[in-house]
Amino acid sequence: MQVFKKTFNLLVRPYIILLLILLMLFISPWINKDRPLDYLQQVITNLEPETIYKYSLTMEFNSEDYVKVSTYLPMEDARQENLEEVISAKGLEIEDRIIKDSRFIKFYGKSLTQQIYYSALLSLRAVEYDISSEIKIPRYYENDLSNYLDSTDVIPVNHPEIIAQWNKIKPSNERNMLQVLNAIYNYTYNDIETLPFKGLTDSLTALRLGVASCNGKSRLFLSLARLNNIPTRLVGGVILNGKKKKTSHQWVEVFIQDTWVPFDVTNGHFASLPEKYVGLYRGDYYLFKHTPNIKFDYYFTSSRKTIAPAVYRDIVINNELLPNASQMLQDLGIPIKASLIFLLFPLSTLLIAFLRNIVGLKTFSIFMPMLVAAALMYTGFWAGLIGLSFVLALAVVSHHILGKFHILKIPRLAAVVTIISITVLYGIVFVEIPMGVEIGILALFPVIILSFTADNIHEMSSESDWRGLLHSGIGTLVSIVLCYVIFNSILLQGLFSLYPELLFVILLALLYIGSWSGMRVIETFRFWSLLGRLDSRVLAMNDRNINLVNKRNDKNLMKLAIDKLQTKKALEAKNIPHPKTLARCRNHAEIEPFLKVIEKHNEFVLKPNKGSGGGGILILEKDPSNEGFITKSGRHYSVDNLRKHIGEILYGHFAQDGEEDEVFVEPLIKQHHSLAKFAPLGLCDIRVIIVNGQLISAMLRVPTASSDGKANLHQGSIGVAINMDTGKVERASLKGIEITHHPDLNVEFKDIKIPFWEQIREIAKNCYIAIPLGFMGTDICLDEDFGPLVLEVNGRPGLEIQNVQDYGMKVPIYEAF
Amino acid sequence: MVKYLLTQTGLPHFVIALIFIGAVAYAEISMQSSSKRLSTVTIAPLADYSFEEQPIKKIDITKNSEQVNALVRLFTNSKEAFKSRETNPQFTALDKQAKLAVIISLAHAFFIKKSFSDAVKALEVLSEKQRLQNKLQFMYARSLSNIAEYDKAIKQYQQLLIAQPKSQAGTLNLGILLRRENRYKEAIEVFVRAIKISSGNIKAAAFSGKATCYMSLGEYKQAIVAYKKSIEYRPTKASTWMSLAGALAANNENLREVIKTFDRGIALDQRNYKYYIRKAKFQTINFSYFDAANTLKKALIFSSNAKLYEMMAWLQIEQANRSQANEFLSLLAKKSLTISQKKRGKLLNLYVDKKYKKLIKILNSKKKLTKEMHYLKAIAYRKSGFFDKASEILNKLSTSNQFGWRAKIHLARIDRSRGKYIEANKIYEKLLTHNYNVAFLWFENALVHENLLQPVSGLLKIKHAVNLQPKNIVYKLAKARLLAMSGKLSSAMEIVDLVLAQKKNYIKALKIKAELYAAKNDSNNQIKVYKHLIELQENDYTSKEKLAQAYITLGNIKEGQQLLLKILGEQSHNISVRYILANSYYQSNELTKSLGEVKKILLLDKDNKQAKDLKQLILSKIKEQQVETEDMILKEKLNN
Repeated sequence: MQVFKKTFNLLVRPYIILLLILLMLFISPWINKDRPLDYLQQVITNLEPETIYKYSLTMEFNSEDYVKVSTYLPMEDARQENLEEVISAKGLEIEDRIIKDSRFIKFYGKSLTQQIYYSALLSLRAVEYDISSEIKIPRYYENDLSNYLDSTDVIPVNHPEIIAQWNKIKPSNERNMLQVLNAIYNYTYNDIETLPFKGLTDSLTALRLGVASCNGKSRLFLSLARLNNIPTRLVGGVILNGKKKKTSHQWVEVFIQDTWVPFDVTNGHFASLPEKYVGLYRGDYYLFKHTPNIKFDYYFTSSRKTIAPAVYRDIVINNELLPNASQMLQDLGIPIKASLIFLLFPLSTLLIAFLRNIVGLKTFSIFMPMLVAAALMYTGFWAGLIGLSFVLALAVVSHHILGKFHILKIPRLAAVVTIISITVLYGIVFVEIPMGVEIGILALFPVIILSFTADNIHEMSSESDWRGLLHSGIGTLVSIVLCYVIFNSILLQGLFSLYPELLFVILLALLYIGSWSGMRVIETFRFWSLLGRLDSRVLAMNDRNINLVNKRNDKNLMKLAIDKLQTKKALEAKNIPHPKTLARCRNHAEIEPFLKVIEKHNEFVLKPNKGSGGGGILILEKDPSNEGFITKSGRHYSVDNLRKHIGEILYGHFAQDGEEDEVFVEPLIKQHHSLAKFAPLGLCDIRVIIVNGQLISAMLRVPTASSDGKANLHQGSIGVAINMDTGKVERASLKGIEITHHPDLNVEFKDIKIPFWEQIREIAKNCYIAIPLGFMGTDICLDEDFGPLVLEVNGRPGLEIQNVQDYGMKVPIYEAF
Repeated sequence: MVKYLLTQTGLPHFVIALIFIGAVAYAEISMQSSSKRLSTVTIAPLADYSFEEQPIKKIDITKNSEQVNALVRLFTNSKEAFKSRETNPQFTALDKQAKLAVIISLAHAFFIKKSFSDAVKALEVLSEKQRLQNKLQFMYARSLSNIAEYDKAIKQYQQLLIAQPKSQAGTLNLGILLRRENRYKEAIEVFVRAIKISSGNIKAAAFSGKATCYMSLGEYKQAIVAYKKSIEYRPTKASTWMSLAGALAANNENLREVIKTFDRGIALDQRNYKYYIRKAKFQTINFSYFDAANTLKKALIFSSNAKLYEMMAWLQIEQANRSQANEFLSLLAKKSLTISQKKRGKLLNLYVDKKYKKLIKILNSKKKLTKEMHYLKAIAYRKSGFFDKASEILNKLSTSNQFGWRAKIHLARIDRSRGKYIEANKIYEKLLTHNYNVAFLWFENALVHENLLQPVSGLLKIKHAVNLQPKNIVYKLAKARLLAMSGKLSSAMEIVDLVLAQKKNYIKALKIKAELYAAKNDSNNQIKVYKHLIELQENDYTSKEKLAQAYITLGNIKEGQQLLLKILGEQSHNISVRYILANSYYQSNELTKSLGEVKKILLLDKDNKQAKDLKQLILSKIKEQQVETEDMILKEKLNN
């Protein structure tokens, strides 16, 4: 029964269920296949990246009247495949049809832009034909090939000069296909010099001059071949070389046993054609035809690109139950790039979760790097990074400037977004964006997101948290780069298109990461001195969050702990001493009466109800020389500024849950004389860690100048370890480094016993009774008049106390349970 | 510490992640760098032959071997050096024998290297006598044929055979060359000689060559004999079996025999999908579409050649399996690389999608059509009701080898559609005489007999169809109808019940069942069945009409009339229903109503004979009744 229960519990775990589904999905195509190895080979082949070419043709003209322009577009055949194409001809009608193996397109009407743009993604193959030496030239052909055998004005066949030339070069066996072709090819390639004549050159001219351009040489080849009853045709096209060019090219195709075999007598390709040749038309045509006197001009451009074949082709590899995901999205009208980003979003979220929870890398906002990386897919990496950095800088500066005017947070954010939008708009107007550059919605969207990121940066810089800024900055950059690499990976694009079931693997991995409680890589450096000590195991962040906060702390009690006013009520109920509340402001309507009350006090502490880390707290006293108030560090607050600050708090700017908040005011606490030597820079407090009602650890937090009078360690205050039993201080550390003296006051941390220690211990235990969180911290200050007072209860206390104590808390915490 | 780092921290995950990322990056880079973008296509000569080779005799150079070898190396690497050998002091310094040795070695070297034109140049230096003496004549002839110098090669082989009349390879190769040059009679003579002097595989090849010549001359019987002999000596050569099958087919031999021969060839080379294509083509020509499709299914295991999909699409079209045809056409669209094949696929798509008008328009706009496209046009015409145009094309095609029989099938169908059942029957019988293993033809022939009211003949035919495809419901129902026609109602009912046991709500079966009940005068059951039909298909007015008639027959006249009125409420133009109603009114002596209905019929169709006759009857009955009434009134008056 036990075994059954255990097995059942194991089976119902999400991972196992997902794993089973995954196994079924993966295995089923293999079971159905007759030859698994061939199938595997097919899988590998379909994942192999493919190099394709982006071919574009731009035609420009100068006429606002009715115009007609026609040309030929790439045809699909055995070596050329058109994967995607874009035609842009605003205001013009388009007629697109097949004429004798060529794709003819005509534009007509009144153009709005006086430009026609065509681009296509082409898959091209180099091809080589091995013509058997035993093939004879047929005397007649079953199919009607007269078009390819007949004489024309520019390709004379039975002309005496052509015949005479042939008699000079003909091989010993005039019926042997290979010999005849060799003879014609060698003559036209070697003996007719190549010169780039403009315009049409007929065969006779090429023959007589002994020099011709590609079209002349090709025509001469045709004349000689047709003379020998070999069907041949001209092919016109472009050679893609990655540069902007205006010249097209001509070569020939010879009909040999139902196959059209290419020959290029200009560049020397016998029965072969390299990859870069794009065929546009077959026959003796002009590439462009247009209305006269319109200053017609054109150019070709090309570039190479690597793609995942599955993205552009409907390769169904599985048992036809699971479609090609990328193709499926495209069928819904989602563009290729967007569909790829969509498919790879989960992988990039996995990356970010990994970087956060396993590596410990911080970023400015959680998934912003992923959105920025998506934007870079459209703009290009460096251009996008520079552009977005500019936007970020602009947003930070805007926040800073608007902050000076004490504008409330939400309108300030909105203003920053507007400033950025205006800048982008004017940027587009003044900076010419080349035709064909995509700026999709995903490129513009992150611009908005960056406005919010800029707010975070602005705050961190206001608090002079340069270390945090640097850490988050590096983390953000690394995340952006890695996400970009993922989106750009051809292998991953192909893999997720063909195997969308891999998303289950990602889900599995995310569940694993979410339940992994090990120490983050970066934390190992933070707690380096404590690692490996068997006597003191470190409690790390994941462990704290998963096994203590999530498991042991009731959610309602956590909410209570965040709400300072509710906490005060709970403490009041258990007669636990805490600072009095002088006034309270619940909403904007109460601001004025609230201000009137606090104006009556000479000094007070203004606090957000759901704030944390000292954010939003103002320690104020009346400014004797001016109207308004002044902080400990000398910053002046007019009533109006105070009003705005209160407004910020009410909007929830400092609230831990991001929701609207309340403001309250407490009397200024007078530091107890025993700690008075530390008082000038701010109020010290004692943090006690309580686990399951047991007191585990405690430290004294001493403000410094760099912490701006605040007692939070991450803001630069000093942590002083307290012996739980005796109440004596043992060691002090500032930002992880052990110190002996206060850096600003030069006071030694020696021979200090915390007064009222037993009382403090009792108060801490009572806090647990009042708010029975399994894992909690309580901050207690020592008032000169009132003794120990509880400032706040914290449901997610920090872990730096372990470095302060030089002792890991894990063992005693788990023992407490 | 290390243990802690490995077990308690994210470092192992980090390392694994790095390895994974590295592996992916490596795979990506290596995949990108190994791009296979060149495809090499070999264009080989069309003819299917294989020349015989002779082992190359090793040359013994005892004298001046070093110089000879050096010169051979030089001349092998430099054609210019060979050309100007007479000015080469090292060469000129050699004696005759040594020079000969150089040329011979050079020829050998070129021949082994497959530089046949160079080998020819080297051997041309020697006289015929020298070549014969040094056993180089075969090599010379072989090299000439390899560079397509066939006339010369033939001459050289002939010279060889004068000197070595017993040269098996030489004789065989000469025969092959003569056959290539379409000199069949000469080739046959040579092959006969080869047969006499050779044994084993060469003998088999000679028989095969002889057979091919007979095929080209149209002497199929002789070809068959020769192929069979070839097989005797070399039963393992798959291509010979396939050729024999071709010869049997050309000679209009028994179809089973031909198929058996194809199967033997395929059995010897199962992975050669082209053999399956040949068999399937034969089956298609002889309208065994079902079997041809099965043959191609096997070929698809070994190849995904677009041609297979095209043939399969055609076969599905011939079997009227539209959805399957669509499947194969979509595969064809993906696989076909040639534009013409893609175009053909699109045209077939139009046919399958029943866009006959558009298809015909496109085909008519083409200057020249292949026989296949003519056939497609003809069947499109037939489907869209243009029988004359369809017949015109089909009649022309009926004499062709590839489409002859298939065209006849469609002609028979046209005759059926036109009601020319006797003509249709003749064609079907001819078709079935040719190939009696085709179920759908037996079925269609049975339908003809059904239309000709010849149930006995029909039953004979349908039995064959059912035997060949026992699971085919349509055939079973046709049998049931024929049984009913011949009065065997119970047997018919049994079959219908079996069908309904498989498919409970099969409409056609239910309709036949209702008719059988009607024939049995079992109106109650007939009514039940019609009610069931109406439940399944609310808009089945025919069944409603028949139900109403059943009610009337059973005596529930009111119910029948109500139902008829309901039908007329939805289909006021339905003359037959209105007639039944009018008739029922007449039968129940509601003459005014009856007349009213008849008048409505005549408004819809003023020439409707039935309505006119009924009107006469009604009027005469009214007159009778009037007379009676008048008589009665008169009598009363008189009495009074």
